[in-house]
Amino acid sequence: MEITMPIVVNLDVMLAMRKMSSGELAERIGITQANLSILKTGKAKAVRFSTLTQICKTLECQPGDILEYRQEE
Amino acid sequence: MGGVYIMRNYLKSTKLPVILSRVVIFLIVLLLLFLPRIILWYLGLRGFAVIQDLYLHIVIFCYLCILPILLALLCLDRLLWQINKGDVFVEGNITMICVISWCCFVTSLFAAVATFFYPPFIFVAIVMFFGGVILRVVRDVFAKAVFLQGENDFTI
Repeated sequence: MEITMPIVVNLDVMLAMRKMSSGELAERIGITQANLSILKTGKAKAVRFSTLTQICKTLECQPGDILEYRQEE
Repeated sequence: MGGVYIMRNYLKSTKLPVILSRVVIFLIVLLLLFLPRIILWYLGLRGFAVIQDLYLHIVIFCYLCILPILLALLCLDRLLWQINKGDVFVEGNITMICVISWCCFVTSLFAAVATFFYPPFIFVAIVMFFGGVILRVVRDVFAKAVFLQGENDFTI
């Protein structure tokens, strides 16, 4: 049984705003495309602060711009 | 230099159990073939007169005990093969450990019943029971490790 996390990672919006592809982001922040895909599809169970720092630095945004809390129904 | 020494020892340590388990499987298969003769020889060595019923009971219970042990060894071989492949903390390995522990418990049960015919079987029963208990603990540790591995794999 897959448990859906209430924390949603909205990378697609920021990637579109910065006109950057997933592959390019993955390369710049130093993670594999597979791991970035895990993050984007909501399968990640945890994010390291170091990864979050790199994402925010690369996309020039705040953590709140890419992380959203959706209350479970 | 130290890293090479550790790596060499690690490689030795994963190959040796595989070799040992296959040697033991081979010996157990041989034992299955020659068990009645071995028991006859053993009873003669101990100076027991070969009472037909006692001899038959010992043979039957030895076969009953050996079959779960053989299954346990085959599972152990599979488990070691998985570990050598690099799949250590996976669900399949937990199942293998579970099967091995149940084989120990079944052997312990057969040996406990056999004690009524030949008392030294009690030592086999006790050893196999404790082996099964220890393997249940190992199984729980592996299950926790699988969970932690999953958490780690999905931590970006």
